[in-house]
Amino acid sequence: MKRLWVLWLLGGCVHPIEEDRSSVGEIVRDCRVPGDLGAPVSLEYPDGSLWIWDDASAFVTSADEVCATGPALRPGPLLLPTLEEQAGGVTLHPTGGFVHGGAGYLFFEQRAGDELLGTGMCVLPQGETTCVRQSASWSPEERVLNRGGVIDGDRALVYGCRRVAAFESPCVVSGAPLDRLGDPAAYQVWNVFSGWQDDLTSASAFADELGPVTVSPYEDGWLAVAADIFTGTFRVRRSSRAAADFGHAVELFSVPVSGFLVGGREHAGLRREPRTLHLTYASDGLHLVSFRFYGDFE
Amino acid sequence: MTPALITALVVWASPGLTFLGPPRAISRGWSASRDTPVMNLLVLPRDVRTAGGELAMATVPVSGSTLRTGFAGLLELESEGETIAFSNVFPKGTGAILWRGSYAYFVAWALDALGPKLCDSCQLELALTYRHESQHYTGSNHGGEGRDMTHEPYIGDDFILDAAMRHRAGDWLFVERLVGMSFLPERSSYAAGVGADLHVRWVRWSRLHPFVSLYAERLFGDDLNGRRYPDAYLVRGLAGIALPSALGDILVYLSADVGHRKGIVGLTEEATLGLGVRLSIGR
Repeated sequence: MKRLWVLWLLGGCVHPIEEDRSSVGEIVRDCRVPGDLGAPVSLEYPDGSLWIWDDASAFVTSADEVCATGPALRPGPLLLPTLEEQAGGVTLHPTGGFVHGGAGYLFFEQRAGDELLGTGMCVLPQGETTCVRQSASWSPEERVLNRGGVIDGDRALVYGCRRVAAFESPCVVSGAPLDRLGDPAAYQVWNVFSGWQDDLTSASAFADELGPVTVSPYEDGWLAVAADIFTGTFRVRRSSRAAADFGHAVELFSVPVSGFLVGGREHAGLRREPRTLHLTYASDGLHLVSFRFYGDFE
Repeated sequence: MTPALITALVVWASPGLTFLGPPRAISRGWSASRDTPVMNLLVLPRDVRTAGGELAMATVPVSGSTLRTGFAGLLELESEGETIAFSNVFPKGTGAILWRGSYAYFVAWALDALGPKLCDSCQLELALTYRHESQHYTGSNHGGEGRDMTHEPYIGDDFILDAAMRHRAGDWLFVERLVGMSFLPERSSYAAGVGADLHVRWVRWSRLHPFVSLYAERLFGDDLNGRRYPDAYLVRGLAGIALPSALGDILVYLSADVGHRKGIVGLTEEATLGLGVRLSIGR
């Protein structure tokens, strides 16, 4: 007892108990989607989300249903490499895209092993199961188009992040007028000072994310949802513009991660209530998380 | 002519009117609440420097009672980390400097005639306060990045109603106070709060009064700017000696508390033992 008094008089003390948290919303569901599935990329339609794996796809219209019964899988890839690509050991990996006029514009990476050869695009007509390859393609030095896209006014925007150093992966925006979506030269990069530019090195970075980034409309602006591949923490940035001005990252929630987070995309096509986001990630199978914002967070 | 102007004229014409005086019939300067507007230096475990005051601008006797109205303010600097040394004769802590600024208007109504009906030494007082409080921190002076504090709670604006009673039993003096807080919607991280205050001092000696003050509060979390905040609480006790004077008291005390920190790091829950000194105006 004497010692306690002496300690008190000499130094006081602080005993941490807990760090509370405030939050912008709450998880209303975290389901393991039935089936042995990895994390999909997607195209977001007004009435649903087309989940795309390398060897299958599924059009998901309801978060409730997919949690209850799993997706109705359509076996087989949406697009196949050409005979020449097959002979050269080239594989195709969809990375997402945007939907315009009912058709899906899907971007995919062409890889030979770990080497990125370039990015191509195919168009998935409404109701079809085969994505029609377009002549448009970009070398890795020309464009980074691997994080999906959105339609913003008279332009399609496609987001992309590329690792340039350890733990650094700047993300940029490319955009093309809607009447020139098949023209690779029409895809310019956004610079916050000088607008649309041709040179990739002129692009302004809107985020720095090693993991997934999904941009989607939200209320009268835009959301960029990102996930930390190391911690499993999902964060969101808001902007009034789809191409720039994304503010500070606000933490949404964290999921358990063993190793690195796989997946982590938001599926705007599943929103039935405007303030509830639906996100997928893979750990012990595919998970679908529904997260509801409390209000108009800042 | 507006009601406020009429009231001001009536007050002005009141024969017992006095200006600039003690804020309350029952001082709250002895409270263990961290929100007490007094001059205070908490040396340990962190240096917390509080420059606060509370004064009545006008005091008016009104048929068996006394009405006081005035202003209270408080500016507080707190080191984020613990005290590690003394520098320039003040305690020096680690980490960022955290700020708290609070200012309030109050009306206190001392029920001078009703108190003695309860007991010979009893005094009663009711008070209504409108307070604004904001929290800040001092960023790096050396080019470091700022900190994102959007997730931290914000006190904002509230009305505070308190009821106090003071009475003696032999050489013991007791002050009890109950506090209710109602925060304005969309202007605070909290919806409401309650608090209870107890001060006990032994007044046999005129030059030195041993005392104990206990305070407990709970704030009920609310939504603000689309973010939901959890409840917060603080239970705090002071024990020490008061050196009384006609103006007020010098309080030298040991402190112990458990609950949430005040200010911009209000989500941190901890328990502390400390040491401080306070200059309290009013009796």
